[in-house]
Amino acid sequence: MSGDSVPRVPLRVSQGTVVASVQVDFEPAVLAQFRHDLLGAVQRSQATGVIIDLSALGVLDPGDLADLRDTMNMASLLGARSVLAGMRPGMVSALVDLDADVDGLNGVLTLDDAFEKLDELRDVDAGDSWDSDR
Amino acid sequence: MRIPITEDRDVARAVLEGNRRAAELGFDQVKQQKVSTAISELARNIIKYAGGKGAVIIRTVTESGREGLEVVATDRGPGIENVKEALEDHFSSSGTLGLGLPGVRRLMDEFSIRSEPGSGTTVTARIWA
Amino acid sequence: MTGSHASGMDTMTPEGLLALYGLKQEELEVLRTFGERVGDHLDEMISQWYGWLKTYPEFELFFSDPAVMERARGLQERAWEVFLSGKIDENYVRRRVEIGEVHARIGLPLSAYFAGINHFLIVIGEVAGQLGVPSEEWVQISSIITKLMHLETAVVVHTYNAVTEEALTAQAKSLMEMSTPVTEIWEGVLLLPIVGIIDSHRAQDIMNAGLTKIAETRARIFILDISGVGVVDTAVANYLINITRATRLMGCEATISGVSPAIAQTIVELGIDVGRMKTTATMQDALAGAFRRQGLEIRPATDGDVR
Repeated sequence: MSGDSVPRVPLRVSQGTVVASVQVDFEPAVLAQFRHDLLGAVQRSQATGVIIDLSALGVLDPGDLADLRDTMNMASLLGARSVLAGMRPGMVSALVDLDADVDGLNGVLTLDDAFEKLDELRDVDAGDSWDSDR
Repeated sequence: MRIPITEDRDVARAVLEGNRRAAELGFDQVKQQKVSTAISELARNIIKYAGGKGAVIIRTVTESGREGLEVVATDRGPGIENVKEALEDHFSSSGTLGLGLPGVRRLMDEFSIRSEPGSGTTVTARIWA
Repeated sequence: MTGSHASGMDTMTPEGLLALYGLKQEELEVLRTFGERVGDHLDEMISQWYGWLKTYPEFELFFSDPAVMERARGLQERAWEVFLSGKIDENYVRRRVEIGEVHARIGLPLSAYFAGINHFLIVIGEVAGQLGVPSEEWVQISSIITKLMHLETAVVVHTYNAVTEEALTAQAKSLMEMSTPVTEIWEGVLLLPIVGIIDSHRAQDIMNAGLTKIAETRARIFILDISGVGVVDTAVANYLINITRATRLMGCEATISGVSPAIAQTIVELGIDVGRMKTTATMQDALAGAFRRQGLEIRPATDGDVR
């Protein structure tokens, strides 16, 4: 199987942020490709934020989430903070019921909220921690 | 009173009965809360670990002039292999580890446990007025 | 009424009970003869019994109303008469079921009933002494009385437990079936007062209702008030921690309000690590925090604001 046949997650860069719209279900190969693509995009664009939009995703199991968490930590090493956007109630309750490690993740409902959250996080990073809730 | 524990609703019944008895004995708010919580903890264990094959017995006891409440949780579950370990605090954030027994021991004044792998567990706990 | 609680006692027919407690007809005959001799002293026995009762203020509490007392005394006289007549029939069983029901309904503890029975035996022994019943005859009679007492106690206690159990089940049921109305009390602020007992089903309901409402309203703050929750054990604490975790994934911060000092103490003694869960003592504190976070402030209205 060639690398080209693995479905890819579309990425775009906006306001210093890489926005990933996940439309395909995660599988190991998809997650690996996504990690590769995302980290490359962060590096090329010198983005300080990453938004992973999960609103079109059907299923996310604790393993997928752990993989995403690693990817987000890697992005963080490249100087970009990450926000998960658009997780739906059913997905969230399933993850929590399955004891997924969700502590410390930044989740928001919409893309607008995600940009807002990233601004907050950047402010915190800049030492302006007036609205820190961590 | 003996309350068979087979489903969630029975936990509530045992808690209510314990609370009623504790109030009758004139226990203060904190003590009532401790009793209810200990009963809840023990009754839930019966459902979780003994497949709802057990009972909680709640009775008033008197010893050298003082009154107290005795809670006995007995089940015919698989028993506990290592009782000493079960009484150690090992909290997990998900709450899946541990039987809450160390907590019950701290909540009540007296605590004893007898467990036989393969035939069941009996926890006896007392709290004095 | 009798029918519902007598279930399970179907096997407790007069004949079945007599056989179970080894009471023979000729023994009942002995009791009847004794009963006839004691009959004249019944009123005096009851007076003595109530004299004893009065020395226990906690029992007397149940008879503070003279009318209630009068009725109870009448019923009791009848009960003793029947007891001493040795006529153990359907009517006898039905009366004992009623005694159990009454005790359970007024909440008279079984310990009081047992103490009463015990004192009845003492009173009867005293009367037998006064009547000069020879000791060997008394040994026989008292053994019969004891057997019948056990029979009677079995019926009363069975009924008492059935009634108490029924009440408890109903109470438990109502506490667990409270609805979970998540309300948006202010833009971006959700409130859910939880009353009763939280079990896994309810925790799931709360989680679903809360998350759905967050998705719908885009709320940033979710206040769960637990001042009406009876017990917070490790399971409940974990449900609450999980709800907090879940809402955070949806950009909403949960606060648990209404944590009483008793609950706070119990949680810590249980060894629960509430971690990053936000808690407050009162709902007012939680609301104030929520408004602050939303950039709102509460201040006294000036004239200009009001009209």
